[in-house]
Amino acid sequence: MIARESVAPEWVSVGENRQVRPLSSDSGPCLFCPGPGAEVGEGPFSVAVFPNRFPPFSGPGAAEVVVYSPRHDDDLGYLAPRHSESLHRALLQRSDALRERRGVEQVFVFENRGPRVGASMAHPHGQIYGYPVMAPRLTRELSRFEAGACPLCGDDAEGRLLFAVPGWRVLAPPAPRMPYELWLVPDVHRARLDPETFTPAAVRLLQAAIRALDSRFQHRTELTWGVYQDTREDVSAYHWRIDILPYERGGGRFKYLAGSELQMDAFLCDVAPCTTVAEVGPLLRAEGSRP
Amino acid sequence: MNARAHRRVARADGQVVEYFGDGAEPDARASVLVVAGDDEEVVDAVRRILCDLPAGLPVVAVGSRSGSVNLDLRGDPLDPDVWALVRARHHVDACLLVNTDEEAPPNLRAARRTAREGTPMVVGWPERPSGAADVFPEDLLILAHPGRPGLIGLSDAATWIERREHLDRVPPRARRRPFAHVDDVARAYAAALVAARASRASGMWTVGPCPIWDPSDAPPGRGFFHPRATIPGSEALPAGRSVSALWGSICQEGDGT
Repeated sequence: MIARESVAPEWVSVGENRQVRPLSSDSGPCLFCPGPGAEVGEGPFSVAVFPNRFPPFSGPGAAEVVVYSPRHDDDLGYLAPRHSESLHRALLQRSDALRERRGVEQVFVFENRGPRVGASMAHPHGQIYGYPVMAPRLTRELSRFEAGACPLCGDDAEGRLLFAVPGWRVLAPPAPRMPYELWLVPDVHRARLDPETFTPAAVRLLQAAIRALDSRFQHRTELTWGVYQDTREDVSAYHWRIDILPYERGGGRFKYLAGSELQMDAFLCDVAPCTTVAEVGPLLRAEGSRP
Repeated sequence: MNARAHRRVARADGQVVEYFGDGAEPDARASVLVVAGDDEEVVDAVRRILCDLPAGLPVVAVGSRSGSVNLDLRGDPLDPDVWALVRARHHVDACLLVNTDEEAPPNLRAARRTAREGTPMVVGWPERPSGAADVFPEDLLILAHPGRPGLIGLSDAATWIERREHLDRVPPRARRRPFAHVDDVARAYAAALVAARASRASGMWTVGPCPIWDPSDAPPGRGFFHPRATIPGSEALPAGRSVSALWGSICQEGDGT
């Protein structure tokens, strides 16, 4: 059920069905490893996509799970190039399919990487939500895009550019919500995932960015990444991108969303963009240059 | 099918699963031997014995102490995130965990967790540790030498003994029968690796009598695997063959690096 605030424009999806969704800590075999009774079926496959048994939306809307690999340890950042091509096709095709589904207003592709940022299953996987109502964040961003020139096309990212490959830039946003936040921005202005901008090279760039953060923190970084796109119309002022939001501040410290962020939607960030450029930039250039 | 394959399959519950690709992509990850403990002497010893092997594995050392000899990453070996990253980056052939007494309970818990997650794991230990029954599952092989308690704390005690340093910190049992040489450590590691590879089919191991390393049987500079006792689930281990030969046979079986 989509519940509306009485004092603010935001909405909340409320549903108690997700209280009983399985966790990796439960006994029994992994539900995302192929086999009898597994959510992914028995395969064989490289990437499997299926409806979430515990969707966050009742009624209109959609929720799908994207299992990156039948292997329990295969993390997105470390998939072989041929394998990530299968993932690329899966994301592109499913994003398109959900976009055309009745009752879906916005398609959000994302991953919660790590138990503390919401991954209930340890087997690496992403998710695709078909929001029945446009998400508050995208609504606010769209108003900026529609107000004038594209802020991303006009952003020269001076001092905030970490890495560039043909067609793509990786930059530190000027006002990061989370420490070491990275934005992957296609050069060509498109509103949503399309074959021209969302290429296999884009997935490889996302992989390189994840590996660079892993190298920075020297362990598997807890983060979320998500695709910001306007999937409503073919023509939109919006410029799609991928945001990576780490929850780590370095030195084993974790960034928690606390009073200011949760109560006031006012983010406090401990790491400046120039630090992100200095510390992650060289690692990203090394990871991004690998064949 | 090929990498571009795309098909829809209905599950028993009626839900449709979409498959992309056929899973035939090669594993991009490099094969490695993980050593829990990154003390320089231990890693050097492992490298030395691996040089003796026809298809030596890269060694990833995970530890929280010196950190100076890590090849790839550093971190607390008890940190599940570190294990997750090791497994994300590498195909782990075997994981060897060698500990001091003081570290026993937490490291054994880590061993149990790692073994449950499917990583071949061998624990180096002098004997079944007291007080560890609650954390030690019956699914791990203990690589031990009942007559040579020097296997205690290979990463610390053996080095300390060799250097005559920190003897006050060496467990008394180890002081009584000090570890002969760090090469023994290396051979023990190699034997453990071979045992792990040979036992991979079963995935886990059962605590029980274990392969014994008898350096007196080994020619100088060579590893020698001496399974005097049986390991449940791995009776097929050939007896009295050199580590190199064992390793070679495993590679020839297509299970090598």
